[in-house]
Amino acid sequence: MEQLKQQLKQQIIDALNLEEMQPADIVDDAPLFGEGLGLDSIDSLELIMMLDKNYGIKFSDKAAAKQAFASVNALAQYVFDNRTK
Amino acid sequence: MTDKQWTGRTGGTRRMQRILIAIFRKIDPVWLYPLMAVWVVGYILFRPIERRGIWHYWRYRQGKQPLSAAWHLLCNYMEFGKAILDRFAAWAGRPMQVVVRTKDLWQEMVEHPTASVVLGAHIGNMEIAGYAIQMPKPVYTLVYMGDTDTVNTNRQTLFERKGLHIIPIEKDGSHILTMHQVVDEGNILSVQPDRVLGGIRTLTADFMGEDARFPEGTFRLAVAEQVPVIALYIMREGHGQYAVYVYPLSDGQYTSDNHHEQAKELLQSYVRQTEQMLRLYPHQWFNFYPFWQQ
Repeated sequence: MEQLKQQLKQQIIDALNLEEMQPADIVDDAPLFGEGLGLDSIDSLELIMMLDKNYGIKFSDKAAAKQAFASVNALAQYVFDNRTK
Repeated sequence: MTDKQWTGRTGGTRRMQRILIAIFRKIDPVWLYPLMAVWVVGYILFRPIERRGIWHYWRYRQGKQPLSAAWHLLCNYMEFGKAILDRFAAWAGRPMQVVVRTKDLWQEMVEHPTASVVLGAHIGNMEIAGYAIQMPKPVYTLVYMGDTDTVNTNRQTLFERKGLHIIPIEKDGSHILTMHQVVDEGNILSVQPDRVLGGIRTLTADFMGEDARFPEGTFRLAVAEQVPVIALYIMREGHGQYAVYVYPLSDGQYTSDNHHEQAKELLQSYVRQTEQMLRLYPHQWFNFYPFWQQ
């Protein structure tokens, strides 16, 4: 799981072009949206497409996406539970 | 958004809108044109935000002298009033005549085997397409739901009959997930990306000789999905008569490999095409707020 979290952090940085950030700058349990990383809906689109491409994850509803994007911890757990590749 | 700002809603109370629909079941909208002219004058006099927006368009973006700009402003409002009456007439069951001017491109769009993104604008009367044209495959359109129940219900009922489905704009921006799902499933997604509502991320482009802001989300989605992007305009040509124009904006391939840069590239194509349409139908600019100063 720890390896998956580090991998996800790097993929978030790459997908969103957060060039000034390192994986270590992203706190595991901090919210990705709002007061945490400060991402918005456009970023969520990029993340949704990244998860689809890398892990074959397709969100069936908004609640599932909201739950997954709560933090890196939540995202890693969601990917672990739902990945198809 | 403060109370004094433009809200993007269809005018009139729920009761007035219902009465209008009932009237149009009995009489042709043209009989209401004189009454509409009175309403238009009142609207110009007492709605300064809207007036300022249209004045700027005619005085500075169309470069008209003050007297000429005032005349064109009045014509612009009249044209808008007629387009709105046509909308209520459609809700009352009156048929609209729609002619496709770019038939080959239209055919290509509706028969395209994969998903596509259709970009419209608040010029002409795009909503009429949803009432008059039977869609050959599911089309999903992003709609602001801040209107009255009368407007929302009538719009939704007629849209559904023609195979057009509504995606409501959500305050938290979560509609972008639905937009992605629609494209991912191979459908047509239709958006009018010429209005910035709320504090969303924007792109700036020179539009009619002055910088204007456009919502970035739609353009980012279109380029990220790598699907064909088409411009669609439904322009009013007479009493209940409309012309459809379709133009390809992108085949899904871009010169840059960065989504932000690609979105700017797509925006450039979109504004150039919209400018061209406004040259043909200058009085059908229906963004009734200070568009360039937002």
